[in-house]
Amino acid sequence: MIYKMFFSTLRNKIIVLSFFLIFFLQISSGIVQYYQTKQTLFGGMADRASNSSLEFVNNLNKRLSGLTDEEQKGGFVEVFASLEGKTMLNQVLNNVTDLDRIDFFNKDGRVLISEDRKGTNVNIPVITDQSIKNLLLTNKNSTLENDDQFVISIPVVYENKIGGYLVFYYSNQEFGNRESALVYNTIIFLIIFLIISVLVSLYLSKKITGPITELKEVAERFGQGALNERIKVGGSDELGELGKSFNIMADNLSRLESQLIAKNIDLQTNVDDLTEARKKIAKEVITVEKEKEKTIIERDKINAILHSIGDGVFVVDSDLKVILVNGVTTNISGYKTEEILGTKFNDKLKFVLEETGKPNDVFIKRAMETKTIQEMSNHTLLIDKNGNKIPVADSAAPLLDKNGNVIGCAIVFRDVTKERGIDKAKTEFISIASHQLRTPLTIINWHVEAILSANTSNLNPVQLRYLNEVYVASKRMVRLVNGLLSIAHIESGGLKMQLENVYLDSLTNEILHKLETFSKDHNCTIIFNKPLKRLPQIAIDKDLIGEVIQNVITNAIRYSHGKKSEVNISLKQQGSEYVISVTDQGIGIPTESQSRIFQRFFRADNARSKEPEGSGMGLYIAKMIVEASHGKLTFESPIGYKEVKGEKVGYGTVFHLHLPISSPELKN
Amino acid sequence: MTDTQTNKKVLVIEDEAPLRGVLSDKLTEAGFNVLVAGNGKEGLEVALQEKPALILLDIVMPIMDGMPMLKQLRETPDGKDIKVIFLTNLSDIKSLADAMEQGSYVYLVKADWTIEAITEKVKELLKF
Repeated sequence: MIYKMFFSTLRNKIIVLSFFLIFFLQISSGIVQYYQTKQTLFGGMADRASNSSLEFVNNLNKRLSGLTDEEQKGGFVEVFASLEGKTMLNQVLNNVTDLDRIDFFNKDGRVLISEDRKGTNVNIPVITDQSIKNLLLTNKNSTLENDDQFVISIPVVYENKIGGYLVFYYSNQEFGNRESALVYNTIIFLIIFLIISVLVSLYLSKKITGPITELKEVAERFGQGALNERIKVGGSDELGELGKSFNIMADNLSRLESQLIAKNIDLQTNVDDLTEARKKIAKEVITVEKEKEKTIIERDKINAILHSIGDGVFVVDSDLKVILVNGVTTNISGYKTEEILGTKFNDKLKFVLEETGKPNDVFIKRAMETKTIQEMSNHTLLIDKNGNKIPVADSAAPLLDKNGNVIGCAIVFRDVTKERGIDKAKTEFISIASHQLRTPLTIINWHVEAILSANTSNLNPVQLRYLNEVYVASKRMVRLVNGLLSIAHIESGGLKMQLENVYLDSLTNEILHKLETFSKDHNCTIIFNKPLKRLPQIAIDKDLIGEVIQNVITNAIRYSHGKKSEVNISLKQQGSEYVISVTDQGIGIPTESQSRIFQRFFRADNARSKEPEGSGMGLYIAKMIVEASHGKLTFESPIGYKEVKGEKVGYGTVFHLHLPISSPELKN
Repeated sequence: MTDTQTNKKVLVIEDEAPLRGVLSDKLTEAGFNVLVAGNGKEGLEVALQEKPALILLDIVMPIMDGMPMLKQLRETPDGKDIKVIFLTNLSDIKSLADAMEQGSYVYLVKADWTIEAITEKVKELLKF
């Protein structure tokens, strides 16, 4: 357990490893050192002992060579031993500090001299020590070491024979002291190095594992989210490089994190947007559902309405295909709903002009082009499934979406067979009535005229005056009847345009020519300003437009002031229309009457008092004719002001007749 | 009968006796040789017989209207060149006439015209 804990960190492993490594090296070197030192120590001692011994032996040999034969015969060894040997050995003992004792053996192992430092004469007759004995038996320089002593044996050669042995005993205490010192020093050395090795291993491990630990700690903190953490990079070794790499990685990670955060924020924003959008969509879906329900209800309503309408109704899309059709349409046309739906409307619902038999669906296309409601042309027929021609009337209305784009067209039509019959009867009635009413009036007029134009001397002045009044009233009656007939004619749809190309200046001149007498009677001067360059012809109904021009000029003359008056007529082109303007200096149209001036039978008070005979039908008819010609009839009044009895009074009126240059009818 | 006399011969075909009378009187006064007829059939007979220079022709009449009378007249060799002025009180005479026959005629609404003006018109046409 402890082992595991201890070796759980790299640092401890390195500590232990480095410690053992260093310590092993130190132990090894300590042991080597010890033995080397010891060897040196012993070697030195042996050399010194050997040198001392050799010196003694040399001296001995010198001494022996100087002996007389006698002396030699007597056995010098013994002599030497007894006499001079002691002195010589003492000298050696004195010179060599460590030398405790010197023995001199003869070749048989008998002790001849034994001297120690203390001067004790050791008398050992024979060698007893077997180890020494063995030493001597080697017959050469030999050493022996035991607990107390260091012994060197050196043979002494005499006459090429071994004469004896010198054995030097060195005190082993000194040596032991030295060896102890050596051991002590070695141990101290080892302890110091042990401490050093511990410190070194700690330092090394710290050096090695420090950055790793820092790396680990930084990595841990980094891992916990402290992305700003960086390693203090030191050195250029692998760990330094690792640190640098880590920092680069951390920078990259930080950058990535920043990007990630940014992305995250974006993502969050997107998520928020999406959530918002989803909510909106959910709302929209609910709204759409509601709208759908509403639409279904509306559709049902529309269907109910469509089918309850007494007129034929069908709806086409922008491609003119029928998308909706009601029962009346199927009744009138004879086609079933499913036969009509999805087809181009004019495949089945064929509208043609009564006069020419040509297709008449321009009003539908025009409604979609102009985005305005268009009426069918008068006298349109629908050809039913069996080929019957059914007179129809009514209109086309464009269907627009919210943005005003045309998405289709709703066409409403009705069978006007009965109305046509009524119209016909009406026209016949008007025709007969006009004939029946005008004939007695003509009788009166012509007879009175005949009387007045003949010799009237038989009549007294009063009778003559009465007759004149009858004549005037009768003519007025004719005008009234004419006006009524015109209105009835126009309102019954009898106003048929018979277009021809006309020069407006010529038409105006013709009318002025007709009105010459009338204008003279009113002391009125008419000035016609024509453009310098003649305007091209225009397609109009000459008689009807002529009637309008005549009506306006007649009014201008009739409602002019004073004994002498002036009416100005101008003709000019304004854009895409020709404009005839008739300006008088007359009584003007009171502001309060201006909105009603074109109403049927309406007459302004000032006009009524000036001209009691007027019928109030002229401008109404004129406007109807102009509008049927796609033109406009407008006016401005007063055109100026003048002082009358200290008061400012407006005068004059100008009527503008606008006629489009390109008439749609003529184009068709 | 001289050409001048022929040129003076005017036939008035009108069913309304008062109108026929007064018009006839005034035209005679103006120097014309005036013939009269009360309907189309009678008028055609007179016209073919008398060969007038000009006919003042009413449109709506009993027995025979003005239009069929004119049509028959035009089918005769003598009737081709007789000048015709339509006299009527119908409101839409122009379209009526156009429907019946192509050609250039003078159409006068009786109520709008004085006898004097009609006489002038006749003189104008006959270069009288």
